[in-house]
Amino acid sequence: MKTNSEIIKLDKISKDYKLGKTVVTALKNISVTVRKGEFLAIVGPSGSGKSTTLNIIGCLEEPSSGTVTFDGKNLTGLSSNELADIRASKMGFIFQTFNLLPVLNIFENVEYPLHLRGMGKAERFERVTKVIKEVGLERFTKHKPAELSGGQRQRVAIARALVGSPDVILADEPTANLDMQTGEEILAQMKELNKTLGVTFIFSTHDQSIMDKAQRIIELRDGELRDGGLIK
Amino acid sequence: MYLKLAFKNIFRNKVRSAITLGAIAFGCVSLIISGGFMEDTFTQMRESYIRSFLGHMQVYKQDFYEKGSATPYDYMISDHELISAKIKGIDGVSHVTPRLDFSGLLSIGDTTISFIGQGIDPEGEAKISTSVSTEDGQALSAEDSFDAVLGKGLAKAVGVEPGSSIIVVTNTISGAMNGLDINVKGIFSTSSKGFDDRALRMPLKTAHRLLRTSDVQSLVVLLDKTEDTDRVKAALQKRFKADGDDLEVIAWYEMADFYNKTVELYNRQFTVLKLIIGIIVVLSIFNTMNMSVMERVGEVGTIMALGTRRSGVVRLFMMEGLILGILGGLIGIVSGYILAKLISFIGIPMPPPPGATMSWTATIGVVPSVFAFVFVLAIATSLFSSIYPAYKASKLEIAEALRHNV
Ligand SMILES: Nc1ncnc2c1ncn2[C@@H]1O[C@H](COP(=O)(O)OP(=O)(O)O)[C@@H](O)[C@H]1O
Ligand SMILES: [Mg+2]
Repeated sequence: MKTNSEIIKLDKISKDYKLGKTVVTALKNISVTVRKGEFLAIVGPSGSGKSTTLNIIGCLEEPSSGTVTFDGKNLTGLSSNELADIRASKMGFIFQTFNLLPVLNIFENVEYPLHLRGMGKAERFERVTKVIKEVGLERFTKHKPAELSGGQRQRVAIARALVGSPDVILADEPTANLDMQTGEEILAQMKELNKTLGVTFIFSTHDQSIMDKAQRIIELRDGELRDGGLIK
Repeated sequence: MYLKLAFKNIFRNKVRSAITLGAIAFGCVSLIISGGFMEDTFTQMRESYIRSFLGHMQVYKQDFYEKGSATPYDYMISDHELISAKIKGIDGVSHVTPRLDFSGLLSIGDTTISFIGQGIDPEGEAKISTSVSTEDGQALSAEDSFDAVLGKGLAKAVGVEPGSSIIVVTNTISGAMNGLDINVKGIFSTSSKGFDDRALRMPLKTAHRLLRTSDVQSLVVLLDKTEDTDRVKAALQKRFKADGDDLEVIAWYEMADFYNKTVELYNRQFTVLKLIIGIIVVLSIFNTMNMSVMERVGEVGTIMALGTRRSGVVRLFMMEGLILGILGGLIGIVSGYILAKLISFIGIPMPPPPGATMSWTATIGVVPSVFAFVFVLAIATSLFSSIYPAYKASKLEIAEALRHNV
């Protein structure tokens, strides 16, 4: 695995939101490069632009200006189908609110992204079983999300993000809805997966104590990178 | 995958889905019952007209039906026994009987009234006029000569009873006056009040004597099955053409003007009903799908973030509409079938239709085409009403939609 090659490059990204006559600037001139296999934390207080940054990296939102390069490919101007296919095949997502589909059981939730890739049943089964085991939830495959604790649900979300062997997993405040101890366990799990499988993780948090776990941290303040973005 | 997800989504809000399915099923049942009721009414009316007097078809001299009313005696069939034999040779024909129509005056005491006369073969006619019922006295029989039966309304108008003696006066074929003393043998009624108010029937041989002819005007044909009408008509026309017979064949539906107008009216009403029910189904599914999209904005954001294309979101919601339509349609046709059978078993007592004298018992016809139509309608309207909600869901901004997950 080439751990040192660039996977994501944000070049002079700005993002404005128009609210009636006023313009809210969420991001100002952000440039960041992420390499394969990194475990990168984006920190900053609430409203500093962490979610916006992750949304732009995950091509869920378009920047107002600047370019995003993903795996050597400029994402500017791609169609919604092309972006959807990139997300389905190259990215994994973990959300603050877990976002599992309530009608599907744990197995089916984890399986969902593989359906999007048109993968055959046997391979889906093999992969889903493997990642569910990796996050330690093999006893719960038939359960519905509502029957699980927050920490367990977030593990399902990790499994779902991981199942398609993505290039990068984006996690927007994955621990914010969990208690301290569970949050640390989740982060430890992510770190472990980063180490053993080499998956690139980019996650945001406003919890200073999480910082210690990160290999590299960039800090946002009012939509700008602090100290050129390199805290650690 | 969308199928499975759509199925599960439908069952997540059981009460709402049940109400929606109920609305679709209710729509289907109402169409099945009203359509089946109409179909049964049409069939009974049709058979009543056919078996009262029209027959399935009538054979006339060429052009009689168009032009014969002014000079009916210019269009007579002279070799009617030969023609009858030919007609009977066609597959599907049950009976053939001759008729000779004329008009005249009948008197009893000081009362004189005009009537429409019909010379008939009592034996042959008895087989065709199965819905002609004898109200009083007796029906005509083969041995009768100076006897007649009168329609209920006509008998009442002149105040005659079975056994009364009347004088019948008419023009002969050549235009001279002729009259006969006739014995009233019975009083009859059909499903047509208009006919019963004016009709007098006598044996053909008596009519021949009265009009001084041996010809007839029409040959009434009864078939085994009404469905064979067009086939037999075509076969007859072919045969007559081949033999050089100068005859025309008029089917019952070309003569049953009232029936046709009634069917048309009912069909129009049925179309309105279909429209109303279609709208109910559309609104109810639209409402359900719309609510379900609004409740699931966050979820739509999630699946799009995971890489579901916008077309996939459309497919998911359309699939939910489709499943609702199929399920509602199935429930509807099954309960419609059961209800139709139940109502038919009990029967609906019906008053006489306009212009008729006999009441009847309506049932609900189980018409495969109505069932198929209703099922297709349920599915089509369900799909149709899911288009907008599905489209709306697919147009959500992903980042914005994700913020709904709290
Ligand atoms: N859709 C939006 N419309 C208007 N303003 C927005 C929108 N999304 C984010 N913002 C603003 O952009 C800034 C950054 O928001 P966000 O990226 O969510 O910060 P964080 O995730 O760090 O809390 C905030 O001031 C927020 O109010
Ligand atoms: Mg945020």
